[in-house]
Amino acid sequence: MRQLAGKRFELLNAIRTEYDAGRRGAELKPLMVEGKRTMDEIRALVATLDQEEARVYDLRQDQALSQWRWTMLFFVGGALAFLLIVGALWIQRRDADVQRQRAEDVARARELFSIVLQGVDMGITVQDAAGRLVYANEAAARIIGYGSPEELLTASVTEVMGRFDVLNFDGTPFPLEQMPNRAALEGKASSELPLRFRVRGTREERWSLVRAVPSHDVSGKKVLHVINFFREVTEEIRDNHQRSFLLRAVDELNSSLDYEKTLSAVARLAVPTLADWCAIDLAAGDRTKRVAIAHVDPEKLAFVEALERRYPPDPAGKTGVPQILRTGKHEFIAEIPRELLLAAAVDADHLRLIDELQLCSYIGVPLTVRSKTIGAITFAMAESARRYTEKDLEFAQALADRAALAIDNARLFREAEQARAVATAQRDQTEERFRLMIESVRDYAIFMLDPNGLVATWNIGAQLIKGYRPDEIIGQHFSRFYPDYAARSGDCQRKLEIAARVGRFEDEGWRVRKDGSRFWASVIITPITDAQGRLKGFAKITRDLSERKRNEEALAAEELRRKEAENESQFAQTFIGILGHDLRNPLNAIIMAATLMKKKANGNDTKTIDRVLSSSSRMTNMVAQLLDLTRSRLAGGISVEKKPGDLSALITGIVDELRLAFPGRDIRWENRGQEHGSWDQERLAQVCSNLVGNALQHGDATKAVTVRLLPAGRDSVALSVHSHGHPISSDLLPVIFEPYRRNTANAERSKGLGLGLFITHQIVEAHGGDIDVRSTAEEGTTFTATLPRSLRETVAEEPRLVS
Amino acid sequence: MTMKPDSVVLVVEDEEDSRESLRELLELEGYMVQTAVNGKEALERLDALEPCVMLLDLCMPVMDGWQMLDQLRSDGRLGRFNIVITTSAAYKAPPGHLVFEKPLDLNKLMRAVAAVC
Repeated sequence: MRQLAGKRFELLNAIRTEYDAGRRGAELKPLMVEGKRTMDEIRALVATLDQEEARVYDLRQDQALSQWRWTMLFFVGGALAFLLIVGALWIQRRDADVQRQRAEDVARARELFSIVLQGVDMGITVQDAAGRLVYANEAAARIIGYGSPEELLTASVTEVMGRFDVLNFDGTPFPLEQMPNRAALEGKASSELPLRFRVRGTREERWSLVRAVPSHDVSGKKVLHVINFFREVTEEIRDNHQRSFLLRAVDELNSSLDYEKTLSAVARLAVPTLADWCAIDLAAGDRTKRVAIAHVDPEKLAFVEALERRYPPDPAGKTGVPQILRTGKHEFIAEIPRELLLAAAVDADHLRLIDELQLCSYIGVPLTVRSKTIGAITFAMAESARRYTEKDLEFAQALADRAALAIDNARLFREAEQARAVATAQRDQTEERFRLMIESVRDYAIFMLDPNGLVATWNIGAQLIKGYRPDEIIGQHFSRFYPDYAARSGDCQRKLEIAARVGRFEDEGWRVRKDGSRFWASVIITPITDAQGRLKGFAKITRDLSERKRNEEALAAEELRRKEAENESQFAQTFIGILGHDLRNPLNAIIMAATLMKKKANGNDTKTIDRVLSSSSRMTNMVAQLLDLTRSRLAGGISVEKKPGDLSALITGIVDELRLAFPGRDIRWENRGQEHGSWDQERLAQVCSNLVGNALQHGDATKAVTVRLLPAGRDSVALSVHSHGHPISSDLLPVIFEPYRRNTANAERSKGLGLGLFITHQIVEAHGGDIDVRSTAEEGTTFTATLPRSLRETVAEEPRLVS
Repeated sequence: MTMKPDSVVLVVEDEEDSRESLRELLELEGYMVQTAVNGKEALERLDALEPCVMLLDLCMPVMDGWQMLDQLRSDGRLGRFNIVITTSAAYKAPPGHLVFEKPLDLNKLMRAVAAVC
């Protein structure tokens, strides 16, 4: 007894250990279903779990082995004890006290035994040698699909066996003759078999590890009982299924951002393991959009599609997806009541079609993203007649949460992608516009250099200014734009270095075009850096300043001319100074000295002195003429100072003087003009002497020279000088008033500079008049100066002498 | 050729050759001739000499003819003296004066001098 009690205790311990191990496994599971784990984490966890499970399994195997051994001993022992007790009862019948005592012990043992067995989670049945069930605990009744052990024990074997189908774990039918109890009835111990019991009514499935152990009589030859052990692993299997399903679903959901595609895959995964039907709908405004529906049978899919086309789901429906979308709450109908279908059916035809689907159990879970319901997943059981449990609901929600997360991620990613695409498009557009703008600039060469100074871009302006086509110059070093000396001296590289250091380099200088011609350019080099401040290259803007340069050069030339003119004027002033003062002063001294000598000679030989005086006089004239030429050509013209005066008196004086000077000549003076006017008397005296002197010099010496003063119009007079003799040659006639034009025929007779007529012309023009010449062999030569009388002109102060 | 001892002609001329020739010519005409080599000297002696005419060169060192004329004008003496400007740059001569351009036309100059002395 004592030994027996010890064994019993050990058995209880073993059961508790087993139980704890199971619980430990169960504790680990919730971790796995906890949402929002990355795949890697989940995989790592799964790996850990698998290891843990493997360990637990090994442990269980070991324990099971020892348990079986112990259990066997226990039951064998138990059976032996039972027989012993029975035997003892018979032996000790006579000893009532002992008998009573022993009966009490047995009753107590039975009670204890029964309590223990009923409390054990493992299904245990005992069959007698005929195969009849003689014992079953509660777990056994439940596993086989009965409400209580009594129910099970009163049922016939056929009934029990007809209650469920026995299948292998993979779903294939398990042959009943291979059931472990059959072998045990023949005295053979079996190994533990994994079996799936599908209750025929509910099609609920339970997975168990089944083992049967024979119990022999004392001889050990005859099997008296068979003890069956059912260790139920339904929960574990379901968890396993769901876990692996979830893993595959998450894998599927993460496989692509095309969530409509991945949701379809998930729906397909769900059937038929988790549902006969699986549909996924997403909210689309006020309506719903079916993104996935799955069933193993394509014909059924087509059937539903047709059904839903004919009877579209009511958006205001009180059950189903619209309701889930409205409330965000799941729906769970373990057993779909007939009334529900009746209520859902629009008409008899509809009901008939719905009935055809054989829907029996239903779970609808919301797809919730950031507290917003975006859709629903519907699972339904139909022809398989399986029923959903709360466990399935939990699982369905876990799956929906993962799917919702995946949809949200995909949508966020899509939005980000779209935003990025839009931004990129906009940036590209901006850049493109900017590029086009730069490229179309014609007046500036705008191009980029890489950090080493190689040309990277080339606009039309660059092409026009420098002459290179883009394909000719891109990739070339920019030093080729510089004249040799600059390129050789490393000047170019220095410019880049300065630009990189200072942030800008500006320069003006000569650059070389493709054809080798040079142009004056303004250049700005700006370094281009990226966001990190790394040098990416340089922007170079070159402007052709040749036009400006030309303008500047023109200005400089103008300035030079002005300076030259100034210098010329300066020179003229200096020259006039020399002629007017420096030459005439000594000439004055010579003439005065010679005059003095002549006076002192007192009528004696004065020929030499006369020659000095004559030459001095000629020189005086020449100086005067040079002075006039200088004034007219270099110093802005001969100036005249008009004063009111009598022109005829002036001419009379001159004619008188000339008559004295040329006593052998006939000089006639005919005054028929208006003599009063405003004149520069001295200058007009010069005109008169020049013209008469000219006539005397070049005209026929035997004939008269005639001076006439005639009216010419109302306000002018004409002073003419006529002479006979050779006419002026026709070559000379048009240019006779230009300086240094001499009548070459009479060159040897000329003692002047050839400036007389030029100066005469200048003086007449300065008076606002004109001079003309007519010269023929018949009529002789006539110079006519027409002079305005200018009577209204201001009267200058008269010189006066104090009397 | 008549002597005119009371009539002093003042020749203001920096160039010696011209000055001395002119002086001798005027003396041959019978005038008392005094000379000054610049405007400053002439100004100093003008009141004392009381010349009947002053033949004044313009371009001279120390004080030129223009400065001297300005001085005479500013001290009110300009109207008291007959002044004939003898210059090689007649165009630069101040207006309102009788001007003889060098080389001097001696006949005309003598006539002008004779008119006032």
